[in-house]
Amino acid sequence: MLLDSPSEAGTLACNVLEKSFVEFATTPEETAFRQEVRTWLSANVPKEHRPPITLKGDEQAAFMRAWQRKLFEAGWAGISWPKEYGGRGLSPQEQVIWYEEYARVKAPDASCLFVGLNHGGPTLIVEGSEEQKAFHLPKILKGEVLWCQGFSEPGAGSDLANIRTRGVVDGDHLVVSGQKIWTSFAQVADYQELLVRTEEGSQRGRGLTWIICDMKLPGITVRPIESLDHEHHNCEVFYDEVRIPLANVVGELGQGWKVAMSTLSFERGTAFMESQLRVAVTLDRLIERTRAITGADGRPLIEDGYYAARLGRLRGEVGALRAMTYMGAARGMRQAIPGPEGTFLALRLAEVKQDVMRLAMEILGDEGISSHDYLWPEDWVHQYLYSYAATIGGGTSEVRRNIIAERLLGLPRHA
Amino acid sequence: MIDLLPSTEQEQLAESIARFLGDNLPVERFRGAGRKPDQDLWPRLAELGCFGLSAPERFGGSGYALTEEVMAFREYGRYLVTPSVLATVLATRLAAAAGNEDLCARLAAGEVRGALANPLQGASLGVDGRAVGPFHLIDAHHGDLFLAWTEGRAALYPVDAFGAAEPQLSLDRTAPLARAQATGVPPLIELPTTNTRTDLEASVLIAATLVGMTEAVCAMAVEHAKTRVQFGHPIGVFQGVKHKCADMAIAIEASWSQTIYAALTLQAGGTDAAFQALNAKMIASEGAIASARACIQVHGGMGFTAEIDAHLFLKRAHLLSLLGLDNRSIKARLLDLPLAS
Repeated sequence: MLLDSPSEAGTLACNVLEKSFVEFATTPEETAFRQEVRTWLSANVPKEHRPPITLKGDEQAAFMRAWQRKLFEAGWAGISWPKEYGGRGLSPQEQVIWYEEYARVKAPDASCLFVGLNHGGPTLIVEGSEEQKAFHLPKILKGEVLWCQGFSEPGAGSDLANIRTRGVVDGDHLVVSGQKIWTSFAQVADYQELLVRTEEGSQRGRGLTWIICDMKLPGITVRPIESLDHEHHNCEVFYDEVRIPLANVVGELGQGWKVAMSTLSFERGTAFMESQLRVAVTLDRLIERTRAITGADGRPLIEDGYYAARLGRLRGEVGALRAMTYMGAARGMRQAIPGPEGTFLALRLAEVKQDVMRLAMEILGDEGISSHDYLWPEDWVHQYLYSYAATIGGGTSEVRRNIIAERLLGLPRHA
Repeated sequence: MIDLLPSTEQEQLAESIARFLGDNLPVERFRGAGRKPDQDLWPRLAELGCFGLSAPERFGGSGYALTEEVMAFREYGRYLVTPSVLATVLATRLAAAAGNEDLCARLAAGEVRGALANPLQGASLGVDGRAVGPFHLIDAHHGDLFLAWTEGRAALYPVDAFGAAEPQLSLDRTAPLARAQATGVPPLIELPTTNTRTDLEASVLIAATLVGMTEAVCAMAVEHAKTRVQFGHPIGVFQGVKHKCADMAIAIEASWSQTIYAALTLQAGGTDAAFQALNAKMIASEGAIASARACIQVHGGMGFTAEIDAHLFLKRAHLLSLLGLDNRSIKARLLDLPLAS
């Protein structure tokens, strides 16, 4: 599955809040915590840019493993994971502060750590056996292993339940054959959360199994796909009679859909904070840039009412994303299982992000079509191109609108 | 940490107002002739506590805050209640800020009513609060005091502060406009907005009204999409219709989140109160107009008729979007206004 923003992470923390419309009371503890985070991040955030995700991807993988190791040693790994599993177990308030500070210093987004930290790991915490947890969770937290996700298939994209890759039980192994696609970071991953059909003839979500697949097993072929920004964000993965131990099944055989859905619903409001703030930081940089550019009439481009109005409007749109993030966090603190309301923010965030980058291209003008090193992550053009993934990965905008209309407004499902 | 969801008590407050409005001011009141003005219900709205929600208890108010008023204004929007409720609530707040106990109590009790006077191009509240230039008087009735504000100043005027009112052919016939020149009569109360924040309070309360209106048109469109059958299916199964409804729901989520956030920021005296309050109005008015437009479209031929209420919400949204700063001016402000760190 193509990941939307690698940092749209989930959290397992769930506090019940009794008061409402709580005013901006910042406690001394929160202020101290913010200072602690800020101090540590400013001293430790990598100075160099993260390498792009290439065909081999090994440079970025090494960079991210080292960063995660550093976070782990300083006690910042798995900030939303419960303490009993080695996480930081931060409260929602502290998570917001963490994400705010993290985005402010432009620390690396989760990229190839995302699936392990935000999907695979949390799924094991909820559904895994004691052996699975003891073996995998510490490795994920320390950055020793990278995970990828094996859900989408050529015939199962937006229609995820149409999975065909099959698994046949043979003794104490599951023998897997078939194909996955849009697997981010498969070229560097050590493990995969793999969803396969284990009951022949079963339909939709029934008869699927969620299993941990070691990516080094014989019979696995990974083919990275060149993305339109010339990085290699996604891969195809082919399985030819791959023998996976049955001990790797998470939950029970045939219960994979339930396990997968529990992971996908981990998205919690506070985790969007970082992604939202990244957009805000990008827009502020764009505004600064527009102040520095001279327009055709010799005046700073920012004095052109056309651009000023558009930038001002986007500043408002990004501001509303922040309010929506707080709304999502407030719901997250009341619901045991996150509801479909998270879709509002995911959708709007993706579309506003694209709007910001589209305007950036207009402001850059001729410069936007020449002399750009697309692989430099800070590059405007690269960010513009990458923004096209935002409304596709993790659920297309069209599927998200269907979810809002059907699950929140009660409109009938498709004809 | 900030919490944008209401408490049970706050929800109950909104429900009691909604119940009263549903019984007494249903949107159907605008159909046909012989409608009684909303102003006829003033004593009962006052009894319900609508005008003094946030006024201090010693001034005859209920001692709530802007957040509770925001909850109430969302309901006023849903029922297209006259903008004179906004004028009266802002006037009550202004009187409280000025320490004018008597006027505050009379406004809260419904004995005195406010109407909005919105400055047109070339108008101002002068250097000493004496208004000059042309104003739009909105749904003004005999004896109303006039509430006006600019970015710098807010004032409450006596009835004779405006000259002969020329009725206009109003876009929104449910809230008729008249045009009048200020006479230069001194205000009853005037304060700089640095003290009262009337401009920002108005922005937030208008935004809340627009959210209620957006919710109303969304509900209408969804109901129609579920019941209208074409090609053998309720039209809501078609994505072209479904996604329009989803966009209305997104507009509600964005504008309500922003409005509540703005109310809390303003209430707490945050340094970004101006940004948040103006943004609430921009987001909510764009959302309301876009949603009313989509609601008309979802209704097809019926949507173009005066029988479907969508046009009433569309027209009121245009009116509200022009009170105080319009969106063009707001966008210019949003570019430079400070945000909280």
